[in-house]
Amino acid sequence: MTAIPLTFYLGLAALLFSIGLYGVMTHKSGIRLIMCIELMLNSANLNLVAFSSYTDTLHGQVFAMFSIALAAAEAAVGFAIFMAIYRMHDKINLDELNILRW
Amino acid sequence: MQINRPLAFLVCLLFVAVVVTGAFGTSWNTVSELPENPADPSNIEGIGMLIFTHFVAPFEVLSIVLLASLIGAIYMAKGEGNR
Repeated sequence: MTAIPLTFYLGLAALLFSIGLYGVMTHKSGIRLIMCIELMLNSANLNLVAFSSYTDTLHGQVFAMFSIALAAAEAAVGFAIFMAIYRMHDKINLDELNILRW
Repeated sequence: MQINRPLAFLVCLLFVAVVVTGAFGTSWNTVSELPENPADPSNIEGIGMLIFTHFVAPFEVLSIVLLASLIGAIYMAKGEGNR
């Protein structure tokens, strides 16, 4: 049984990353932004696992687990920030958000 | 600010074209058949051994990072009455 070539995994990861990039560039809602960032992170994880599987080492999969944990931490902090923004503005519109500008 | 959806789509299309061209044009040093052990196809044991021997320092740092993000997220989400 021949395996799926590595380039197909890389192409799928590039497709996922571009979908996330499109979402980050076009959406105004904060929740959708976080979801698209998760999509981009998971495409990177897919690359890590693919290379790890094709080189017969487990380092890439361990690194993917670390990356998943960091993504969870990032999502938690992001949602907390959006909750604070919602308390201030009663909506989460990233275009009108300029309180971090100096 | 008006969002330019066709321009964003074009940028994404160019990005995926560049990356896919690079991925398919590179001759990766891979095998045609995945290396696997039929007697023990699980890799959980190997990952656990790696985490607790070679990657134990990043693992400990990760626990501190998770704790810090937990504390920060709870502090920001709870608020102080009417902030």
